[in-house]
Amino acid sequence: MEFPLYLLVLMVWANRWFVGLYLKVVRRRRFHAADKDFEPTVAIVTPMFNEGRGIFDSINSMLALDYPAHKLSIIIVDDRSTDDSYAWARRAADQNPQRVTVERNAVNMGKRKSISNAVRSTDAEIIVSVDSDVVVDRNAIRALVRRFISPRIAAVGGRVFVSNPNDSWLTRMQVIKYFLGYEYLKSIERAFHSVMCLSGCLTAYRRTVLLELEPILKNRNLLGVPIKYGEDRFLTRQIVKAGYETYCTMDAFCWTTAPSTYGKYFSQQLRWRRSNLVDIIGGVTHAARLHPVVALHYLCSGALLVAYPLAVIQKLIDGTFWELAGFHLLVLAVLGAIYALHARRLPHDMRVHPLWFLAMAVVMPMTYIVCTTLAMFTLDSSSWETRGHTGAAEPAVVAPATAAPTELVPAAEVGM
Amino acid sequence: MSVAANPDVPRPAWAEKIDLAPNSPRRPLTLVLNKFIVTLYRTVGFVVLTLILLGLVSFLFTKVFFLFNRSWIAPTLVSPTDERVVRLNAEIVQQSALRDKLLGERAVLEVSLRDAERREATGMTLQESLTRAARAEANARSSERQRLQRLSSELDEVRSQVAEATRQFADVSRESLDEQYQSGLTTRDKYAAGNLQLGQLAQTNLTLAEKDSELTARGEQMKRDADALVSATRTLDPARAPLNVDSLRLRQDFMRGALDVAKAQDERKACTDVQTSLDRSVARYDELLKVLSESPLLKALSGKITIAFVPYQNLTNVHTGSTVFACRLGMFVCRKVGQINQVLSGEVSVHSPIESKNERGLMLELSLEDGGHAAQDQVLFLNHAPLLL
Repeated sequence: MEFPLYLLVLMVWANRWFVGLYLKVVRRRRFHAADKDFEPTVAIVTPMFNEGRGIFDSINSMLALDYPAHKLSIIIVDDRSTDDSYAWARRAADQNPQRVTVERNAVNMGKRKSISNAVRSTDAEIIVSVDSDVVVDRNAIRALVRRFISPRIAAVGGRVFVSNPNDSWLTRMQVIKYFLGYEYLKSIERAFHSVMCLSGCLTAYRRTVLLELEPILKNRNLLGVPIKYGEDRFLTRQIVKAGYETYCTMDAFCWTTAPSTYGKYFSQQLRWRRSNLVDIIGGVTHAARLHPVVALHYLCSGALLVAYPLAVIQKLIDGTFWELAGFHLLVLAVLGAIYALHARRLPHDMRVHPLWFLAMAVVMPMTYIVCTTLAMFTLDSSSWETRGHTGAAEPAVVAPATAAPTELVPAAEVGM
Repeated sequence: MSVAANPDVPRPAWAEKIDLAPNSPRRPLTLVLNKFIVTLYRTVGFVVLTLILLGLVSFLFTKVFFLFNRSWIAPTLVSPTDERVVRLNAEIVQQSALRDKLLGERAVLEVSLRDAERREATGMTLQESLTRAARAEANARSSERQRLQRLSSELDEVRSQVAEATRQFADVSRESLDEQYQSGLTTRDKYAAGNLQLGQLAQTNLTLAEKDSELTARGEQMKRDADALVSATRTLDPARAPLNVDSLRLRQDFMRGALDVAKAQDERKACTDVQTSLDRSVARYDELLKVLSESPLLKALSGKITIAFVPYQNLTNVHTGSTVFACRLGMFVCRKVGQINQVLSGEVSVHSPIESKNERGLMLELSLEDGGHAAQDQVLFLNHAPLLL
């Protein structure tokens, strides 16, 4: 078992760190290609639930984005908040009635349906999905839209930073994880314009493509069981599957809140594992349509997702887990050094000490063996619905699509 | 399908959820199949996660239990292909080969020793014979010398008498001859012939003296030869070596023989020393082979004893006669199965049944009452049931 595992690790590592870097150099034109004159109409769609005054500040920060005011609209969808969020959103909308629209669902129906409804209510060319707790950089929209250099590009994602780096050691660790993830791990996919996961925190989509894929997204299920997690990953994959291109730009960025407690972190990791597993199950059938390099990387990453926790369990049974952790420490120290080298460019409040990344030596194996195992047998779980939606009203098995579209925009996810 | 088709059969709850039209008599087969697979998946998932949870809990409990427990021992069932047994057998074979090699060397040495001894004995016999022969020869020479001395003495007397008689005869004859010649009673020729005869009488004396001298010289020669023969077999000091060619040759042979004997003696001594050393080495190998042959593992392999490993940290609970317990489910439901016979000397390092690492400790000899079934357990406990169950 060890040889195939080592081979997998080697391939994934080689792809992520060396082939990706190589492509970044040899295809740098493709990485930097932009249409600075492209200035389409844009609608920022933000679903909210119990954000309080925070949504008022968020709307104001969106209004301050560097983009022509007549081409930028903001749609806030209140999913039946139980606090004064709606009032705050209304207040912001009243101050800017031409640019801000606040919609309110009749009942709490979740993020997917909220966004889906918002997409149908606008005619903007580009829909930008922004989570309500995300702070967007002033130049983000412009940086996103100018990457739509051809009609084949259907989605462009931005880069996500951690907005609460110093809340706990977990957030410090995640700062480095996010940084390296965006800086290096998506290079292969970016090189071939086939990014397989664009974060829901900040991603721009062509509205026409969203509408085209609406039936698929609406009927998303596994053996008849509706799947509600990992929507951003699913959407991105469907876009690629439909023959469009996706890209992730490092010029557009935002800040999101990283889980700062064990419970939240575990919950997030569990969702991501489910999402990854379902994605690889669904994606393996059309991996052949991808560029061979991307397909190989995609399949190897998927296989490693299962093989890695098995190897960790094997090490635990053998009593050699600490040797594995020691090896991880060594690798993470190198990655921490790479981060330290890059992070010098970042503002001081966005940086953390690279040694915090060493915590991954234990956190990563443990979360993988717990979360992957648990996720493997709870793929049908509907426990995750952001903003407090329980999903209780959803049918257990999806019937053929006849109703209006209900889900479109994926949740925030950073695929590491 | 049949559930929906037969109105008398009550519809299950899930049928209400998956049906697009609850009252529809037929539902797509794929939906039913999907439902079945999902239900199966959920059931399997529940079972697997429950098992994992149980496994995790028991794993943690076991870890904590053995972290504090100091009364466990690990019975050892030995197979001929066990790595340790193979290693021990290999060691025995190797040591036996070395021992046999030493014995072979000793046998060769034995031959050399016997050869040296033979050469020494032969040389010494030869030396003794040579000495005896030389002495006998010397004695013979001495006897001959003495006889010559006697002969010489007699010759001296005879020569004196002959010389006196001759001198007197010559004096008388010469006076008579002179008187006859002077009186002219004889011719000149007869006178000369008479003088010649008298000269010839003097020559006879000289001949006797010469004979005496010869006898004396021969006696001295006999003495030198006898002395040379005696000294040739007595001393090795070159300064005192006899100045006689024959005896020097004899001495050369004697010396050569003596050197051969000395060499044979040295060789015998060296062989004896090496043989003693080899005997000590073989004895050590015998001791080592005995220890190896009597190792607990090999004894256990031959079915003579049941052994168990005890790590050093648990040694405080080990005493001869300590009760041994076997438990089910790891450490529950325990029963007495035997006792410790003795603690076997010699450290062993074995793979711990508790942790995945090698542990150092000793071996115990057990006597099990249950026909040795307990020896198949992963661990046994000493003195009392670990959880008093």
